[in-house]
Amino acid sequence: MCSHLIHVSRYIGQASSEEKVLPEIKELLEDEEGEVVTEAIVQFQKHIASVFSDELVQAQDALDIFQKFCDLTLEHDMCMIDLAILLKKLGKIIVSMNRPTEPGILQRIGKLV
Amino acid sequence: MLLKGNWLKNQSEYMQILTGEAFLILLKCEQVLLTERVLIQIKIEAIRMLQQWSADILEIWTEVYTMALSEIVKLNRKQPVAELESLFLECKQTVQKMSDRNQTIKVRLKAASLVGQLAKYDSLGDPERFKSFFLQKL
Repeated sequence: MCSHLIHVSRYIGQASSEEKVLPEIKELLEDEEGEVVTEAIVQFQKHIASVFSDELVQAQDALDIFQKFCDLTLEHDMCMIDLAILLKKLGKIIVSMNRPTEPGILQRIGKLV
Repeated sequence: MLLKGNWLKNQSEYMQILTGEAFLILLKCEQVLLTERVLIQIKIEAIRMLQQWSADILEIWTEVYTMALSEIVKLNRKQPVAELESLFLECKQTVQKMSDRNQTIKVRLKAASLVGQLAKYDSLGDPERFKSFFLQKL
């Protein structure tokens, strides 16, 4: 359902996307369905790679979302395919965030591994 | 033949999907320049197909609709916006109808997909119009 959010965000631009779409992605993270949560993570990765501003990607808010993703990945009883997708996307998110020494990220990666 | 009367409406689901795929190829083919009249006919058929419940039909025809609308808007870019208002209103109503609570989950999912495709193909010709139509609640 949310797989088209990236088209909407690219169309309406960075500022509107951060204002209107980011809250939607956060809300999707709260969904009961693992499939929706997985798609939310995929969408977040696409957004930080090509839509959201560097300031937002580097901000504490983005870090909090990332940490939540990691926690959800640990909590959800996912099939191997979902888990593989998530790990791949989390890797890309880490690259986009470019915070190699951030203890919060390192701790979460440690837990996941 | 494909666009005459109720021909498409009376066909099987399989034929309706195949016809949608054929139109999609035409719309994506840069070597073929469809006239406005043909594009409008395709759009009319697409609106009809979007009233169906089959996910496969909706999948293909949402893209046909958004691409046809986009081409019509591009052809009329120099015309006053007022002349295209009825097209935009029809588009908004189509999304609203497909998103209605009374619709099945499948149809409502495709309504979300339709909004994404409208953005992807710039079918309304203006991001601000798109925002005012569909992003008020977001």
